[in-house]
Amino acid sequence: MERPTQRLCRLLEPLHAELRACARRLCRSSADGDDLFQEAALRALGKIEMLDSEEAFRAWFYRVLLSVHRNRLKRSFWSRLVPLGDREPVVEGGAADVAGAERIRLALAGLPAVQREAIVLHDLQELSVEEIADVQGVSESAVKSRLARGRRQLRSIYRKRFGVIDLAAEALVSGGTS
Amino acid sequence: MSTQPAIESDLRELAEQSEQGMPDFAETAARVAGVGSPYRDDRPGAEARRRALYESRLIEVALMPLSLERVYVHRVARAAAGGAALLAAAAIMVGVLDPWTGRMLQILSGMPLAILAPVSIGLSTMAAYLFAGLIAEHQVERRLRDSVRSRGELYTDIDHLEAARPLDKVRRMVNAVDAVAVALPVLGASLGLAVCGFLMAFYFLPGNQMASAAYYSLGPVALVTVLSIAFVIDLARACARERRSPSPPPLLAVAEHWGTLIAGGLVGSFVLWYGARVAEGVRLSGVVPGEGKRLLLIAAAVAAVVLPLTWGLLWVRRREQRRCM
Repeated sequence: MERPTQRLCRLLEPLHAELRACARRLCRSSADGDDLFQEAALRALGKIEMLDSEEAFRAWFYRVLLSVHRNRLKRSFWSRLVPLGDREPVVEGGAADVAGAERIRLALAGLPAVQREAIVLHDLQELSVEEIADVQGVSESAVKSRLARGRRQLRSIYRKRFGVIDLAAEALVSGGTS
Repeated sequence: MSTQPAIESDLRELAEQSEQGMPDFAETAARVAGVGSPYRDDRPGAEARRRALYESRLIEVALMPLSLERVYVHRVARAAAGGAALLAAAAIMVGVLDPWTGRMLQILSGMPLAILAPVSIGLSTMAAYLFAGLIAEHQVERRLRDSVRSRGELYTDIDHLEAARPLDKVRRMVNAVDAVAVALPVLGASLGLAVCGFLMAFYFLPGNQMASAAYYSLGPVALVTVLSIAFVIDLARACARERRSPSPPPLLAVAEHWGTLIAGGLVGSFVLWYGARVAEGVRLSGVVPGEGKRLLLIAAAVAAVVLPLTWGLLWVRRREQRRCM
C-alpha cells in the first residue's frame, strides 16, 4: 500500500518545475513563491486521499495552489511583511529604474487575485481557457472576461506607473551592461 | 509607443526569471515527508522587517515636532505647580485649625501664618513648576528612547517596534495630562487664595478676636472650597469629553468666552472695593461682618481669580492643541 507522502511525491515530481514556477509568478518575489508552493504541497498532502483520478492531479494541484494563494492574500500578516530581496522599487524616475520582471510583478500585484491568476495561467503557464475554467471553477466565458479585464487593467497600470517604455533603449542598456 | 509590447516583453522576462534557481524536487519531497522544517527559514524576513521598522521609528522620532514635547512639559509643570499650591494651602489650613501645628510652622519658618501662607504657596508653586518640567523632559526622552530600543530577541523586537509608535505615544502622554493641567492650577489658585485671604483678613486683629473671627468664617471658606472642587471636576471632565465630541461642551464654551474675562475683572473690582470696606470696618470697630457678607466676599474673591485664570488656562490649552495638530 502506497503512503500519502510517497503518492504525492510520485505525482508531483514530473510537474514540480511547472507548478513551482507558477507559484513564483503569482507572488511578489520568488522566495514568496517558494513559500506558497511549499504550503500548497503540505495542503495537498493533507487532502491527497480525496483525489480520485490521478490523471486529474495537475488541475487538482493548481486548484490547491490557487486556494492557498487566495488565503494568503486574505491574511493581513503577509501584507505587513517586507518582501525579501524585492522591496517595492521607487518608480518616480520612470520605467528605466525598474527591471522588466519587477515591473510586471508590481503591475500584477495591483490586479484582483482572480484576474492575476487568469493572466498567469494563460499567458505564462500556457493553460487553455478550458483548463483555467476547470481550475478556477468558473465558466469559460468568465475566464475570457477575466483575461480581457485583467489585460486592460494591466495596460492602465503600466501607463500610470511607468509611462512610456522604450524597449529598444532598454535592450541597448542591458546589452551594454551584460 | 504602445504598452502592450512592453507588457509582453516583461511577461517573458518574468517567465525566464521564475525558472531560474529552482530548488531540486528532493528538497520539496524531504520537507513534505517531514524531514527538517516544512517552511523556509523566516529569520532573514523577520530581520528585514525589524530593520525596516527600526528605520521608520527612528525617522518618526527624528521628525517628531518639538512642540509636542514642549506642550507635554508645560502641562506637567502647570499641573505640578497647581498641586503644590494645593498642598501648601492645605498645610497652612491645618496650621490654622490645629494650634500645635500652627505654632510649629511659625517656629520653623520664623514667620506668622498670615505671611507664611503666601510665601510658602508661592515658593512651592515655583519650585514644583521647575522640577516637574525637568522630570517631564526626562520622561519624554526616556519614553522615546524606549520606543526604539532593542530587546535583544528578534520577534519581541518586531512586536515592540510595531506597537510603539513614538508620535502616538507622545500624543497620548500630552492628552493624558490635558485635564489635570487645567484643573489642578485652578483648584490650587482658588484654595491658595481662600487660605491667604482668610488669614490676611484677620491678621490685624488681636489674638482672641482673630481666633473667633477665623472660627466663625470657616463655614463660608469650606463652602467655597467645596464649590471650587465641584467646578474644577466639571471643568476637567469637560476637557476630557471635548476630545470625544465634535463640539466643545457648554462649560468650556462659556469659560473660553471673552465675557468670562470681563466678568472676572468686574468681580475683582467689586472684591477690592467691598474687601477694603470690610477690612476697614474690622480694623476700626472690630466688628466682623455677618456670615452672608463673608460668604459673598470669599466667593467673589475666589471667582475673581478663578474666572480669568480658567479663561487664561483654556486659551493656552487651545494654543497648545493647535501646536500638537
